[in-house]
Amino acid sequence: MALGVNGVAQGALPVATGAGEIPRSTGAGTNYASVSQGDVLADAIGDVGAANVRTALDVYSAAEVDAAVAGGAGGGAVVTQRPFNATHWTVVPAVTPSEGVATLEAGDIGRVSITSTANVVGLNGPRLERAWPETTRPSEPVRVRVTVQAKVGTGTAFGQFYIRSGGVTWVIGTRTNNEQTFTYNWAGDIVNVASFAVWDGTLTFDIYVAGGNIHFTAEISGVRTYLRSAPIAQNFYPSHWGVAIGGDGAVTASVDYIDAVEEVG
Amino acid sequence: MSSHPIPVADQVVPAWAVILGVTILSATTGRSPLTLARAARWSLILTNNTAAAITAVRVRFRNRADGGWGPWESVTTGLPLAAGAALRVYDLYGTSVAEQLDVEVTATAAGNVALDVVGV
Repeated sequence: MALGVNGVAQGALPVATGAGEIPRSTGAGTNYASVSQGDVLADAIGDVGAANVRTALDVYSAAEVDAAVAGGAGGGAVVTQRPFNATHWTVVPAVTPSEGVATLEAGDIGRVSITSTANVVGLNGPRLERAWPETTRPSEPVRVRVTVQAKVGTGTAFGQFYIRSGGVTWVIGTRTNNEQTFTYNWAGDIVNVASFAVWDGTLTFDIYVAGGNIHFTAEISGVRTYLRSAPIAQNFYPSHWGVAIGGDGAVTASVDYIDAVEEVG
Repeated sequence: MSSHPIPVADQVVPAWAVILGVTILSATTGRSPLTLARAARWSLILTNNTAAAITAVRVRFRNRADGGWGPWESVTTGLPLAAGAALRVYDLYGTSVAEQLDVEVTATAAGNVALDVVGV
């Protein structure tokens, strides 16, 4: 017998109260209710379970993707932004403090400044530096990048981007004119790579160490220029990387850096 | 000629005592199932005169007074039925006949339920 109650056929589907609705039961032995399909879908996913949904769709969870990116089972590279602030960077004062300072400016800008009447040696000048985050995977490729945002001042100053380990330092940099090679003021085992007179935020330097070679690339306004590669110890692994400034003679200048990135694996 | 058909079923149970829980009309002492008398069309009005809600109502039918009952059929609309409220139950299409109608209610408080059935 088909029962009717209060004008409603028992067991029949409900009359929709809006567009895009589908019926959903409200309990055993009750009529269906008309609810939005989005609610039904969300509840259905909840009932099935997100993990089962992902399995059915053959997709990874955010946690699984993160783990893979972090060098887990997937083995991807770890790409980490290192904005220029106190969380990520250490200010290394100049050996002779009167020659300059390095500061972490608002907006995650790293600034190195010199005021000198004599040549300032790069590693002895003011710097912003950070220790390499790990040492447990020395055979993995490493990459560091930084963008030169601006330069102000007078004299022959050099913006410098370096990676180092032990007594070996590799430098790539900018210069204010063509009179000097930019590594002029670096001491020790220095490799002169290339230099550019670009200061407007369109120049990004890239140092990449992999497979027993170190590679230097500059990207200016999206155009990548492969500068140089050189053999390096197979197990070379950086202890530090950073930005610095050099000066030739009388210099009063500062260079700003942004968008530091390090990558492992 | 009257515009009102002559009822073949016409019965009122003004105060069916129900307990807290499940009460079946045919199993209640002193009560009998409602008589439909094989009316082609019928309508039952069930009024909750207890002090609390009725949470479930079921009905069942049999074709003769000494015959077997059909299965319980659940009411799924209008529940819970608040104290003082009424429920109207009927054969939706007027296409079936039965001799008797039995009622089961699930109450949340003991009290009385009024039953009023008419069939033509």
